[in-house]
Amino acid sequence: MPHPGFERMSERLLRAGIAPRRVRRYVGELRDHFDDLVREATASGMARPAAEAEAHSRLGREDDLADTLLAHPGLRSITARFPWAVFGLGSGVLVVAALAIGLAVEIAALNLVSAQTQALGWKPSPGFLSEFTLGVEAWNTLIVHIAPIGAAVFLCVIGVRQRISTGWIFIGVAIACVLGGFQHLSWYDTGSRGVMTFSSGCCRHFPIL
Amino acid sequence: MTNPSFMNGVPELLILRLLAGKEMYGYELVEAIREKTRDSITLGEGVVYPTLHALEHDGALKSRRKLVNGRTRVYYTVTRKGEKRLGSLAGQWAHIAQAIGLAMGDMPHAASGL
Repeated sequence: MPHPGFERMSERLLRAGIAPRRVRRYVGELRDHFDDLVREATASGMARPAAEAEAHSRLGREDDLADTLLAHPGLRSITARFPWAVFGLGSGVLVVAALAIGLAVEIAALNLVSAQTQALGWKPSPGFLSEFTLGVEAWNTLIVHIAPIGAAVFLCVIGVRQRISTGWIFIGVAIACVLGGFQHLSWYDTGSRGVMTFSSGCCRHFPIL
Repeated sequence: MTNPSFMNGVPELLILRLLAGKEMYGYELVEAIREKTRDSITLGEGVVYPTLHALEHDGALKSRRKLVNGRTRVYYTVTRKGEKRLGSLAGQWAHIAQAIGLAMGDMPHAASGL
């Protein structure tokens, strides 16, 4: 009799909303338990096939093992219990958080560079300023365009791992991409100072720095 | 006894009681229950692990992985919250057992087992 893989039980638990990490641990514990039962039986003189059959019998049917875990609704993951929160609100929060963090880092970095150049009395060359602008624009592209895609990929991975319905995954990805697509962030150098503008679909450009 | 209807809540009580005395992993716990109840109560593996997970989720137990003889085991131990829950469950159990004992006391076969 083969070592139990519990694949069918794992799939059932995942589809019922149990978090993958908990399913892995439950399966791991049951496998270890099976090994212990076999070891105990063989140590007492039982032949290995008989010991494995006995261990299978002690563990019980996979459906029963799944049912007893599913009898505890509190063990369902937050994603399974509140998909509207994770894929609805969560996707928006992820995009806004990515933008806010990206912007905060950028503003802090620009302030630091500005303070240092003024303190040192350094006058950057036009070539350096052009390259610097390019670097800032690259960062802006990263936080405005790549971060929402990253958020969408993250939601996809969570959804697929936890066997969430395609509808919820689609909603999460759509919100992240549409929200991300509405944002625009740019930075340019006027020659005397840098200007950063941020715009979203529902408001006009306004300067930040 | 395995799972008669009046066994509801017993696995939780036994698990908390045994883990309050010693950190154990699942197999060890199943064996300890069998030994402590002198084979009167056999909790199936299908009951023990989900109860352990549920108690841990509720904060009554905490777990940690430990390498023993080359194998990683998940050891469980009772938290302060679990100790309080054990106290409450033990009190309830004692109250019910006393009440049932009183009710069954006048039955001639009550003392010899049903």
